[in-house]
Amino acid sequence: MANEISVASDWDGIMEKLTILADSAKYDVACTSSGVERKGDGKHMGSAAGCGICHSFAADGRCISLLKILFTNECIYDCRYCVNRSSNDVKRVSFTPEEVCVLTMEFYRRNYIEGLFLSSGIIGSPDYTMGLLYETLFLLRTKYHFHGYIHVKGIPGASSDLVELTGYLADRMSVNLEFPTAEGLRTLAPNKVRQNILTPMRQIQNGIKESRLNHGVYSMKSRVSIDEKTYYSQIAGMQESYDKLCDYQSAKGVLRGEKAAKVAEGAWGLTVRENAKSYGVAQRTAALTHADRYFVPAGQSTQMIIGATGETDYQIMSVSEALYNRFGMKRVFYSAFVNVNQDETLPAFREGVPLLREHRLYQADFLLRFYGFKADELLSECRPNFNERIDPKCDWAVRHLEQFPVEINTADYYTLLRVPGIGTKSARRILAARQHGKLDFDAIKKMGVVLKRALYFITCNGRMMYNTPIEENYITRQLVYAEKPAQLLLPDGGSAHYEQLSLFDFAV
Amino acid sequence: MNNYPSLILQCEDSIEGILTAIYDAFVEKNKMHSYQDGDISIAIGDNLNVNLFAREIQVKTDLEKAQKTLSTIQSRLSYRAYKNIMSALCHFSLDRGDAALGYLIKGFPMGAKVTEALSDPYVMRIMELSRKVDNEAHLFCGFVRFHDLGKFLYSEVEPKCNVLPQVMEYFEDRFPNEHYVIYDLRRKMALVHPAYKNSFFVYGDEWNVDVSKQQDHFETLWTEYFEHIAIKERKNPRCQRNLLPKWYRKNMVEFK
Ligand code: SF4
Repeated sequence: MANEISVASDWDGIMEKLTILADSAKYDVACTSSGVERKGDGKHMGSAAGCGICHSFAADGRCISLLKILFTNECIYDCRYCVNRSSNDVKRVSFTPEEVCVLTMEFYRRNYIEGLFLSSGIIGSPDYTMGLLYETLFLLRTKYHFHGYIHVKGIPGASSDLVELTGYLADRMSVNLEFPTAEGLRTLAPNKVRQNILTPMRQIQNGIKESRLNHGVYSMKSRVSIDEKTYYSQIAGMQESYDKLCDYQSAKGVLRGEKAAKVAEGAWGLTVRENAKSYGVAQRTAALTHADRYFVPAGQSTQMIIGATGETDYQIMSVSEALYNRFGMKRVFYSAFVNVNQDETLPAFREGVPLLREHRLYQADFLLRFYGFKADELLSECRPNFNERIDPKCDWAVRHLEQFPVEINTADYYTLLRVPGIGTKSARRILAARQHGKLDFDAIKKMGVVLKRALYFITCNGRMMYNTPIEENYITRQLVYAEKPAQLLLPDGGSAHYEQLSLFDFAV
Repeated sequence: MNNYPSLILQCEDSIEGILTAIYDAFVEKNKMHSYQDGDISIAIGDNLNVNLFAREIQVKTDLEKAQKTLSTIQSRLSYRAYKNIMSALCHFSLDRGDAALGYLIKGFPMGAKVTEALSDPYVMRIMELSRKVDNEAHLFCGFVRFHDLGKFLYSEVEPKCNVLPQVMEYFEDRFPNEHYVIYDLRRKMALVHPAYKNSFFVYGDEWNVDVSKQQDHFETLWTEYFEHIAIKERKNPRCQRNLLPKWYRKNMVEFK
């Protein structure tokens, strides 16, 4: 039922904050709400759908799933590419934790969103900022009893305590890598240090791994189905500490400083540290009592800005590969650079944002995650960028014609997957159907194989479809012709034009 | 269907109506000496295909018969088959009764394996219909917009398929503590959920709420948010239209 909206009686003020803080959050690409399946508790609002749900699509075609906002656009740093950099003369506003909670709750109950994606400029210090994000999540989960999806940014440089505590409340966390190379980061984000980005990433990874092992999940990739009983008792523990904390706060009105802390420790078993947002310490006591507590169950993601610093596609893909393999990332997002500050030292793309490049990177990212490709199969030092005219898989195939044609009726799963026009679904269907009899071109077409692309690379029962030559220039020409006009598609909405990306690619 | 039907069962356009017709169809089938594919056909609603040679029977919807059909499906086939049939019956296509009947005639001797028998045209058709319905239901989980009317939340939808039965559990699980009504304008059918209780359906059109009269600050906030979250340098109306066809936007506040 409706929350008391005391915090939002100043509607114009709230509107101003919301628009400013949405404007400055929109360059973050991730808006997915996938990766965790959680039923409601039958009493309070909220649940999470494992496949994610899109609630709307913005004018740029991107899916809107979460309320994506910054907590504040104040920032002590001066990253060259960012609207919020300290040297910009823009209006600065900050939400209060309660305001973010009320907006999330009220949007959610009208079914506008799946949950919250909270990020922030750095206000005061990394610790102070992380504390505010933490406090917001804590209130949202305990005071407002919100059980929907929460994605929160880890602030580089924040203490590991705060990051850990936040992880028990969030479904997904992300720390932005920002740029593929350390060099890029140094020149464009002079106040950020790569180490400060990788440290919380590693910490979150380890936390996820441990928590997954506790629940008998051995892979970092698979979707987690929450055991609601455990989860809600974890939340109840926090609830209890929230109640204690309220007692503490009201006691604080009477007692002060040291004395209040002493009483709190004696009466409620809280160790109170003023600066580290006392909620945290309260929660910690509760969280630690559950060995099987959930930590960032929907996994970790990160994002890189593409096209601002002159790195090659090969460098980018190698970094992604390392992020998947060594940091257990669930997703890496690529964000085509938009020169919002009209900064003259940064590239301004006259022909618009480099969307085609971004698109190719997402295609290749798919090949890394689901098709068993490696970055250095797709690209190399001497061929460092993707082909603009054909997609990365076709590009790979025409340069490895010695491995074709592939016989549909005998090839194994991974060999089939390497054929342009065959995706994971159609490959699996082929394997299943093959057991009942020989397959011909008609049959595999029905299974979803895109023959227009596949026909140059396959045989059915020893015969090619049209006797086309297996010759690089010829096939390339045909494939360029077959590629649909580059209507560019987006990470969240997926693609209707590339057969391997399903329409709603937030499942992965 | 290979031949003309010799018997047409005319039923009401509702899930219960079709399930009753299926029950009667099996009774009639057992009376026949031999049964050929397509001998019995189910005509839904007023769409009777007048046929010179077929016998016609008006089926009166009977909840008990409908229930029997359902429990037989659950016990003799599988939960999955049951789900598929229920979804498919929520589609609008007129052959869904025939498809379900064909599916069951094929399925009862086979048991649970029927869901894999995709070479059978009826089984394939049921899969196809149920997939379409499930897809649309999934979209509506996101596209439903509630208006806060003070006493309860209210939403109007105009889905192509009858998605309300499909999304009932989902919304109940998500908003257990809310009173809400989702009203299907096309079918004049409302999903009603009193807080902390089970949902139920109400037929009729007395839900004529004029939502435009309501002044809700959060609607205004959301609409503005929606404008601001798009990156103007990447504007792409075609892509937006592909992913969210105009058809669905009618009842979404951010497109008003
Ligand atoms: S830290 Fe850098 S990127 Fe983040 S808000 Fe501040 S200026 Fe922008």
